Amino acid sequence: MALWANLIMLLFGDWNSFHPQFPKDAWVILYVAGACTFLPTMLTVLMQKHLSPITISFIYILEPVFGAIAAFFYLHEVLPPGGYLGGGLVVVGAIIHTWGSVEFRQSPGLVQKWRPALLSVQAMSAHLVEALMVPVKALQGQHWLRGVIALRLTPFQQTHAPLLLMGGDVLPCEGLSPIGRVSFTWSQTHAEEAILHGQQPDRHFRTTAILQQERTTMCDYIPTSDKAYVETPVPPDHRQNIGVIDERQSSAQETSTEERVPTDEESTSGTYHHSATPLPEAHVPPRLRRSATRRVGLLATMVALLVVASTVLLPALFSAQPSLLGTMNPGVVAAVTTVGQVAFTSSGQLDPSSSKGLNDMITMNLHHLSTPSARQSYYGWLMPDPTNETIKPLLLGRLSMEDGTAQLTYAHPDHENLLALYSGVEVAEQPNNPVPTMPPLDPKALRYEGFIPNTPTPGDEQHYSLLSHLRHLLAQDPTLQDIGLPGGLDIWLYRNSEKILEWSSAARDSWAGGQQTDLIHRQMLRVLDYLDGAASVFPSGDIPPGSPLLVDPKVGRMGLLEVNPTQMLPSYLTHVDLHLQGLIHAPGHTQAQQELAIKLDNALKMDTSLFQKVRQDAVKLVRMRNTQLKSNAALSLLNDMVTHANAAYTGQFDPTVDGTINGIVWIHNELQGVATIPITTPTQLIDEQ
Amino acid sequence: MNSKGLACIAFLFNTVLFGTYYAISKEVLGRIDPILFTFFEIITLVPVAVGILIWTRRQITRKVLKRGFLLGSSLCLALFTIAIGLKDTTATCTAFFPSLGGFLAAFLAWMALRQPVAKTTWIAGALSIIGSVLLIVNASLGGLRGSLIALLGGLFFTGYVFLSEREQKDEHDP
Repeated sequence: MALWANLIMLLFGDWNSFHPQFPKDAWVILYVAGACTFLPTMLTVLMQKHLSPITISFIYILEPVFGAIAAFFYLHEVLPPGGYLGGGLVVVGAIIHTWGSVEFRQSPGLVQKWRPALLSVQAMSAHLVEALMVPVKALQGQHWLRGVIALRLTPFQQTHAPLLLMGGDVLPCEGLSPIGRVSFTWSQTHAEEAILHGQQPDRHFRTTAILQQERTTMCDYIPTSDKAYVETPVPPDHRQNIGVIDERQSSAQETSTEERVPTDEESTSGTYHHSATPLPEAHVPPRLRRSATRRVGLLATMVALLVVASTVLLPALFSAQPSLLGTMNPGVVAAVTTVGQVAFTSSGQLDPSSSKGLNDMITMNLHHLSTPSARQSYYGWLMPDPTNETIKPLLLGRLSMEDGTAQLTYAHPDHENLLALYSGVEVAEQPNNPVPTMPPLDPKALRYEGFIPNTPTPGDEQHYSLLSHLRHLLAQDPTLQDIGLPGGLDIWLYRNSEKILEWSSAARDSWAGGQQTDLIHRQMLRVLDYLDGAASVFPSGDIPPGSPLLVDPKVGRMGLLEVNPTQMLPSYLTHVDLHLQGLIHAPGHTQAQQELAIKLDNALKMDTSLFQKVRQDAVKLVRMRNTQLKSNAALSLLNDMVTHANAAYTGQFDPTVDGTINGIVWIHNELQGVATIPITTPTQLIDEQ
Repeated sequence: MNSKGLACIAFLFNTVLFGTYYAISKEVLGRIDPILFTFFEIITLVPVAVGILIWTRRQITRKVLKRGFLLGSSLCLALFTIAIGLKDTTATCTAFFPSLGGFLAAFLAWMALRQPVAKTTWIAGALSIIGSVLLIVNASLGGLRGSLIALLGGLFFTGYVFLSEREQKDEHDP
């Protein structure tokens, strides 16, 4: 596995996507290897003999459930209800399958048929566990065939390896582990255990067959041993004929030989004892008596090795990343070395007639920078789209460096929407005096650069690129421009959602302040206008005929929700979602952008569901007569609506982050995080090297 | 507490540990390529594997090496695939997909080995397929690709189990 891991890593490993947070990520890898692989392996090996495989299979069915719980609490990951329903069906299917395996095994004559299914369930759950045990399993099988198993197996294998033999995994399959233990410890005590464990009739086919094989194998061994005590003669033909022993016959033999005490003569005469009476302590081989101590020693050694090696290896690997890369392909290293990022942020200044105040600030964080020459400094430049020659590069400022790191914050004096105009960043080494007014013409002075890819997404009819999606979301959207609204989709989703909460709360206050039904009715109309959109609210038929449009027809033109699948204008929630989908399929997006888009998509789905509940309440309220609006039923609806509107807008409190998440406010703040540009060393350096 | 109860707790603990794999790994996969992540995961366990090999060095034969190579290769492939799938879809979805392995194994046994499959297995399979479709349909952005890769990972595990089966049969029926 390690060899394959090395090979796959060398062939397909993407060091561009290697940005660990040390030491956190090192601890995570250590946890995954140790706690998710090594520790379960040890626990399984030590504990499986106490439980039936079916019990273990049922316990392991809980794995995805715990996985979902862990994802919820650790990642705040929430699936739509349909997703959980699907997961539940998969789990129910696994339960039925495992249960069916139990039923199936109880059918005489079908012993061989149920085994693969049951085995697969166990092995699926134990895949990581087995990773470490393959060599042991294979070794043991080798000795089985050679018939020298009792002599060569280590104490560790004597106790545990047999559990791996028949199942194909580390879990005991078909209850064969006790038999395996008989095989490899070759003592009377374990022979007794084997018989006692072969309780189920359907198992007897296999257990007795193996027991018989073991008898034959042991008979091959016994004449040379001075420590094996046997009583029952084994016919010579049994050495060649490995078959099924009749259960009753075996039991009769056991009963008849139960109280006999073996003698030295018997022990060397090729006889076999499978009495239920334990052997005296003196008859137990010394190796077995030391096995427990040695097993503990082995485990302690393994744990120590794991901890020491991981502690040493992981930091070395993480810290040695540049040198590792450098030995592989210097040119590629130069091309992919990321030194930081530039992020667009918004000051929040509001100008209803323009998009000023949006994306009007730039934050640059760089690290691992080389030192500029004497009397030279690094200057940051914001670059326009390559196709736009009418806009000049914008000087962001001189970078103040300290220990190879630099931070720069720029705020446009007129709060211009920079993302709508610029899509690239350059860091150039230029003289301190005079302050440059243009980026250097000499490409050798360019030290670092970054840009938002403008390559159209393959297969996209609109030919949208990553830059297109970012601009539509955050800077300017053509659909909104046609309506006459400045800015991107995000800001209007944010503002209109806020209005829903505001009007819902106002309606409830109107009920509490004297049951002012006319006001309540008007607020409900406004809520529906914004939820459905002015273009769709009347065709929907959910508001009384002749109702006026009570909101700004321009701002309320596009609704928050999709009322009609064929409606001309997509809703804000759908539209934002479409661009998030487009973003992660667009060439050049970063992993961080994709991760964020996935989180936002989940949140959008939740908020869509909440707004739909708000709409249901609003439709009921808007259809009520004045007398009905004065009733407690109306208040109940209003309370319900405000609760849902509040949850959609502000989100849910998350104690782990000590704040609210998944609401529109959270989406608005987080969405700004996708407007980032990774800064790398420029391409020219490759050619130089 | 008797040994059975202790074993139950131990296996439950195991299940919890396995369950945390997806969430814990998922976060890191945002910063580290899944190939590299799995590489580090496996490499971290090399000292332990070396310890086991040293412990059992006298029993290493060519056949053992061949078997270890085959099983290790298939398992390695499965681990890498799961990690890649985990990168592109949610941890929750990825956690559920390997549960399909039981049915897939039975189905493959029916297809390839002509082994009879119980009716309950078919029912379980139908439920699992519906559940999988629901998971995929409700997957987040980019989740379709990730879900399919995670499903592929489950298939690789199934193949791994069958490989184990075949090796075992060879062992007992040379």
